[in-house]
Amino acid sequence: MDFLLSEDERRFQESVSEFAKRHIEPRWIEIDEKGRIPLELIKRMGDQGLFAIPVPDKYGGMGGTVLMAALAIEEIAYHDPAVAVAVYALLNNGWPLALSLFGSEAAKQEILPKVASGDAFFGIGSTEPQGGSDVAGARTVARRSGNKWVVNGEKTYISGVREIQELPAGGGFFLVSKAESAEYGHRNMVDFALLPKWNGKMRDGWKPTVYDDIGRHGLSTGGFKLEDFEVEDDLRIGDVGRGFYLLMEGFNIARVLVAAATIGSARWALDRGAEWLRSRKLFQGRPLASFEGISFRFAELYAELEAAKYFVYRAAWMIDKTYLENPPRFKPKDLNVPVSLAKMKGPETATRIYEEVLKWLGAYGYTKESAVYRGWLGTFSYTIGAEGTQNIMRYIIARDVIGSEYVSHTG
Amino acid sequence: MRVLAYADNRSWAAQLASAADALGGDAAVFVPGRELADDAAKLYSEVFFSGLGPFEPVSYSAAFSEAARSFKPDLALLPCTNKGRSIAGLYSSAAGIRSATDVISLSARAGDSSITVRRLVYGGRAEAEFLMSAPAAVCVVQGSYPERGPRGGPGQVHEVPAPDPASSVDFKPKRREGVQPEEAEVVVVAGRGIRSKEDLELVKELARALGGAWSVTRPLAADQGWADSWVGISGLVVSPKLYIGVGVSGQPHHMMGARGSKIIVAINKDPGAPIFEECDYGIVGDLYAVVPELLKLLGGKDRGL
Amino acid sequence: MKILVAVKPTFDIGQLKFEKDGTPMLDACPVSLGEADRCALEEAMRIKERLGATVAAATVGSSEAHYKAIRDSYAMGADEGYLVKADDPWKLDALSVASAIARVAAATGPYDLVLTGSGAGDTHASVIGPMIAGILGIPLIAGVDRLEVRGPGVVAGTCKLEDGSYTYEAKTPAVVTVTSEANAPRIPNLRAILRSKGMPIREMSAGELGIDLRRLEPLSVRKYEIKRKRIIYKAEDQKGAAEASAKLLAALRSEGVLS
Repeated sequence: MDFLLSEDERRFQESVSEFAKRHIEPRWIEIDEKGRIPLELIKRMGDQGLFAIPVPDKYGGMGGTVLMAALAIEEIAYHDPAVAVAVYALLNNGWPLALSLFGSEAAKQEILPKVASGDAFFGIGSTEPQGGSDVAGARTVARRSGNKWVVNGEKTYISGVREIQELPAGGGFFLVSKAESAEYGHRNMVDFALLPKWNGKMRDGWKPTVYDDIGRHGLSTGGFKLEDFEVEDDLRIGDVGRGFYLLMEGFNIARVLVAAATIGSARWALDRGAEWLRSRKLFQGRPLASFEGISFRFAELYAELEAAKYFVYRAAWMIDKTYLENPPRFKPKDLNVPVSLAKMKGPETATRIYEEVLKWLGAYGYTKESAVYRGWLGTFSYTIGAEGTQNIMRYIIARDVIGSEYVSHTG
Repeated sequence: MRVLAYADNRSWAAQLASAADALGGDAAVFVPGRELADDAAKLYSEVFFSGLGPFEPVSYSAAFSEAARSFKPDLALLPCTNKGRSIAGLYSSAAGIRSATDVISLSARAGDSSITVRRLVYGGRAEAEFLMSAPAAVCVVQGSYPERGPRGGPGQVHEVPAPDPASSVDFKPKRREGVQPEEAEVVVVAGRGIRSKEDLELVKELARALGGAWSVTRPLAADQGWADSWVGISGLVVSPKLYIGVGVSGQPHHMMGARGSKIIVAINKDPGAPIFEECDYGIVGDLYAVVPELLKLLGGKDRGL
Repeated sequence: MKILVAVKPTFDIGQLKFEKDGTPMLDACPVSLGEADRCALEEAMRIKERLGATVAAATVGSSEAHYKAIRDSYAMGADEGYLVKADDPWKLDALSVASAIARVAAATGPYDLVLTGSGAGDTHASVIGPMIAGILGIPLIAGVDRLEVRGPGVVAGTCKLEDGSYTYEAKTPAVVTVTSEANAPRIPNLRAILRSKGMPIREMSAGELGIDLRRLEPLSVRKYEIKRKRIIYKAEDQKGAAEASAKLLAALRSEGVLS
């Protein structure tokens, strides 16, 4: 067992760190304050090869691994603690990989190169007004009509709703829906690459709205109604009836990347905290770090962050050995617990670290000038949900470890 | 010990003269022009000069080598500046001798012809002590040796023929407004704590009030484009009586450019800024509050030394 | 055109720590391709992209960091890589390094340009370029912010020196040293990094190049002890600023640096 990153992984990590320091760090606060990521930065990230990292070369991806994507997202988040840019990047790494694994050849050839280059966005469209965690309760329905599908329904709390309208090529979502009827259940679902704007043209039947979030302002959250929105059959991702299962596999990939973003942001907060503990002196010149009530708490948080980090790396490594190796070392269901551990620990550790660092900073931390609160609000959103709630992570771990016959409440 | 110095201005001629004194023995200097030769003759007993055009390293070092062929020095002493280092590199490789840059002190070892050299390494964070055997060449850091005053009668002046430059030179001299940082007794430097190009005015005013020069740290010049030159190891190296860093954090590369200052003052709102480890006096506070107060107190009556 | 870029891994001195007795902890200090060297590689790549050129990178030293420096040069787009083997490379004297590079140039050239980074980072670097020019007997343009190829066999570089701006024009072959202000070096993407892993590095020995590599053993290397007074005043508000300013000026007067 070699716990160190390989030389390529380290070199790649350094290259992303340098890119982020040069192009993202000087602007992260403005991105959070103004509520948008400049399109020029997105294009630059595309040129640098920071999207579609694990997607094969032949589709315009970097031919890398999910571990490399996680390292990249962690570094981006370190330089963008409010995480909007990091989340933009993770969505455009995780869902393109899912498309690459499960989509049709035509869809991959058409969509992936433009996402890799930064000209288009590809995220996730799963949550609906009546529920996010209860995917089987989805009411969006797709009905087959010749060589296309006609989709009706509504999605809420979707990232990227504004961005796909502004990007040159546009973009869309890995969309989950029911097939033919909205009846409750997970066996009658189907996934699509739904592209409300593509090659610069808006498609009819997509009615978006943008929300006003309390944090992570740089990336839009919004919703959309689908009114007889037409999707070609070659944009269908996987077989009818497989929609729920493929979505869960996609979530496993995205969840690891979400956790990577939160630990990158948390590492930034802890580093600022450590700097403060060294330089802030009180009670006649004693540094704050010399008070054990403070330094012991630092040690505990450091331990949690390290643990969360290794959960992320381990889960990413296992995903690589499941999807990017032949023969695969693991099966998709083997990923459930390792991924849930990462997604459970990452965001929660991050918010705990932010809370504590803000307390160390005292009243200064409470001011907007300190900027630390932006990371707190950004990472907090990942304890609420996004690719899976914290309670769903607990549910998955309990179910798979104790046994689903005891834990399951879906029968 | 026979020492041949290279100097392209009066200050360096005077600094290297004291360095040569510290080594004992005979010292001569090479200067790249007749005008400097007369000044140099007040400091050295032997002066070589060549009627060279604007600085071009190959011809300058060839002329210096010609002087060295005549004087046969054990040690060549050059300024640790961009020009000095180029000449040192060309001269020492042509002569096949050892060289050292960033030298802060020299002493001759009694008995043999070796020199104990102390130089700054690792970006100025450490000092290394070496033994170098003559003949050798060293580049001395600005301010390591004081400027020695004139002594004795005028030295002998020899002209060395000027070699042709290896490249054509198009020289645009710097527009010199007011005192230059390398020559000033007081230097006030603006760092990243200064928020805008307009705010540089605060620093310039403080420099004026103290009768000194102003400059910036590298990011303000190279990244922001607020100035043409900066204080630092890759830019200007200054050794004034008083250095004041306004909103300067004190990164090693910058401090290497200011270390020769007699008194270093830091004004910064970050109590953890590295400059507070390397200052004589510091104020932890907002420069936008402190500098106006200093200006008020200095207003009118006090002008620097 | 053929361009040789002399590169070197340098310590990230901002992260250098010291033992209690002042000895630098070099083993624990991160090392990477120096910023100015990367700017030199970037200039070479820009010439390659604009006019066509083969770019070779060369380094002297057998540490892992030296091999990585060549791989990183490949990731930036270099076509060939040469490594002169040398144990204990950090103690090599500048003239030995310059001689080795000059011999590599002679053995694998002819080159139109020899580039290297100048200044900052490591204090060696500002003499290596001039030494190479001295050994090869070719023109030197040292410390350029801007480099252009003005025509076949002619290059020009602009240098910002202490007293003003110098633009030199020289016939090739020439040595040009490049400052870290010359450009923003490209950051290799993952594809370039992965590709660089498989590219061979041609190793050479001092013996085959016909040179002696000499090392300089220091008598001591110690942390630079800052001998400053460190008298700090606090200015928490406007009133504090006024008080601190008054105290500072009084102190400076007593130091004799203010009248």
